[in-house]
Amino acid sequence: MLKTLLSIQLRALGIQLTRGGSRAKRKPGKARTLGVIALLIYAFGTFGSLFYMNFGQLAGPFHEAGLDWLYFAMAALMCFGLMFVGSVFTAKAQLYEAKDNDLLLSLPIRPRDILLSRLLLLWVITMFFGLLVSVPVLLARQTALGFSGAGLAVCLVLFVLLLPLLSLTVSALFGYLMHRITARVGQKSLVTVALSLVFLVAYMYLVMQMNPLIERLAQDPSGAARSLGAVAPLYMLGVCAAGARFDQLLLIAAVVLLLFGAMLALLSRSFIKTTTDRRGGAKKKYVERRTAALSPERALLQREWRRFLASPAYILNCGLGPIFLLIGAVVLLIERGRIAPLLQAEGLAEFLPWILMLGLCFTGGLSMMTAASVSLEGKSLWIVRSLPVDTRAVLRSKLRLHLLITVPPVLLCVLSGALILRPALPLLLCLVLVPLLFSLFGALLGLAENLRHPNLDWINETQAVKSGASILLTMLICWGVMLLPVLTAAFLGELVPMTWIGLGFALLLAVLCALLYRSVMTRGVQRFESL
Amino acid sequence: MLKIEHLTKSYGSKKAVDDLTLHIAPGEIYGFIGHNGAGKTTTIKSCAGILPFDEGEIFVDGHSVRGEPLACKRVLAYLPDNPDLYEFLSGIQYLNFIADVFGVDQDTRASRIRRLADAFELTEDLAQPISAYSHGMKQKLAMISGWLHEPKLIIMDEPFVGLDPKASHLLKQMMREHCDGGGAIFFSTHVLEVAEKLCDKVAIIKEGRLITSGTMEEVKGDASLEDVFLELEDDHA
Repeated sequence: MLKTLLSIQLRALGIQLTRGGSRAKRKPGKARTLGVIALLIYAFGTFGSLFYMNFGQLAGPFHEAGLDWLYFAMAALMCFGLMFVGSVFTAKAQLYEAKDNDLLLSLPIRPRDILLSRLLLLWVITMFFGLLVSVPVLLARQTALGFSGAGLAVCLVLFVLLLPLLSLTVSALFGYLMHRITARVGQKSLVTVALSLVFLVAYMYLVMQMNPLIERLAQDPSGAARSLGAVAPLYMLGVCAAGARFDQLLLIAAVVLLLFGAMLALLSRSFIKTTTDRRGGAKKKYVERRTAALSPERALLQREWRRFLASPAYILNCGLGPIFLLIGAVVLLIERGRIAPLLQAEGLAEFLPWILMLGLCFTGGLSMMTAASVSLEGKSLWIVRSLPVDTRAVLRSKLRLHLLITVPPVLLCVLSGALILRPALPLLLCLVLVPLLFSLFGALLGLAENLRHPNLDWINETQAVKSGASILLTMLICWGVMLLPVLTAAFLGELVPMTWIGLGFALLLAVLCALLYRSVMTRGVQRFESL
Repeated sequence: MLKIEHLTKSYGSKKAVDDLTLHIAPGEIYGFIGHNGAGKTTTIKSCAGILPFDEGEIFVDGHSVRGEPLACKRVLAYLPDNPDLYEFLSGIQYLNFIADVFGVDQDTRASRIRRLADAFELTEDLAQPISAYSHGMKQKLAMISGWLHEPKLIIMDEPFVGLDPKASHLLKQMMREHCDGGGAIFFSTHVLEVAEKLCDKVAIIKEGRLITSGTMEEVKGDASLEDVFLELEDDHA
């Protein structure tokens, strides 16, 4: 039974990754497969290079100081952190909020098997996050010092199998607790978003502190050894990896499996109760109120807003850009005292506006609302299709939501930046136009891609907002387009003034937006109507 | 009110609906009967403007579904067999959304929601999110939304599935009143007893083709609709 359940889960994952789960059961195209591969390379490239460079600085000095265990203990800590943040909300959604829970529970299947099949799939996902850290960390160590066969085998078992399993155990327990908490509060969405942001900010803080931390560690490795050595499991893990200790590996494996088994037993016992919990706390009593009548266009926009605000998965997976931009605007204002001296620095001052402009584009590129908006119609697509509203109005409401969420934070950031940098008018024009047009470009591209690759058959809405080609392609294309002014400046910077390059990029974005808008309102409309 | 002329719709090489012609006049409750996979839902979705069709034409209140889809949708309500509504909205938010789209003014919508929700005993649950509704409650909410803008034509796919006996009785009454007021209803059902008692006309479809249609008396004569249905199914096997 477990095998059958697992094969269904893997098949669903495969379909999402390769076909996008659209109702048209077409075979995966080469372009799509290449897109998925490109994204994997991109993810491994960015994360991998970050961890490779940082840990590359540590391998040699730690070895010389006789603190090899500390290298692996730190790697395990980073790896565990990323795996936990990457899987805790997926665990909550996949384990307890899947729409097929009722169906599976009605079949003669033990709850433990349902849970175990989902956990095994989550283990694969967790492994993926872990590999983003463990592969570069092990490569850095290999480059600096090399591995013995036994050493590599121990490290692979530890980092590729056991650490993800341990992280999954903790994620599943946290997911369980979060589900229990959010099932009992009225503002489920708000609480989930707040908790998620706390986890995310904590992890980002940890990553941002990595450079200064590593500098301190290089100066005083024994101090760090004393601190981390006090954490017995980390010390044991580090010693096991550094010394290729099979006896300790067996002990660690036994402990991890025991913890996993205990978690499985605990969650299995409460699985039926947890998945069938009534949501939303106390029942709200209806009180008749006079509600303002809206035009169809405003009603559609309000529908999009409510969908966005009601879904933590939607906010966290597609709306992080605006949140970061808001934080960025505040940080810019607070830290203007530190930024001001940079304006005097030779060679850097002239680049600051461009760094800000690209930073805004990059962060704005994390906004993916439109790229999931068609998929989120899901099985209720029939409603807008049967109502007397023009499909173009439906698509425009999705664009409006995206722009209403992204444009104000972009403008706020531009304003903060302009107050500090005080750029000349042409430069200010670039600073305003490029990020705004880039936001519009991202919105249109996301919508166009989601119309091409919709996923309407999702069981859990996390599937619609987290996986699927539209989000991946939109992100990759956006960041690819962002490279254009950088490359132009690199090759033609001495011939063409930077302001011209900026304005040229704005013009290019405007043209691309016009073409995309036309495509969405013609071919996109046809696609939406044939879904 | 609803004219289906030579409707043909294929999925790949399989014809789901084959040259179907039906006319539903104002004041008629028209039942649409057939086994699973006979083509009922395909026909109904085509009439509601949700599913593009290959050949033929459908007219709603004189407007072509293909040429003037919005004009058609303004005068009809479509209720599917599975009420997958917006789970992120509360019941009242959903009804207000539908009222906004159909341009129902504040006072009219308030009085209609009050009357219909009271009738379906759903008033107390209107503030609840739809995600907390049972299947039957979603079905009732879908019914209220269908009647909210007082459409001329109501198209329903298996409307009695999931409704409790009281709500089923109420729905039958509402269907009758709607048609007595000059509206028309076209609905599919597997409950032949309901069709027999409720419908003015009935059509039986098998493998996408119309087997028979007409007034209830014309179709069943002195026999029961169930006997006639089974006999016709066997004859066309």
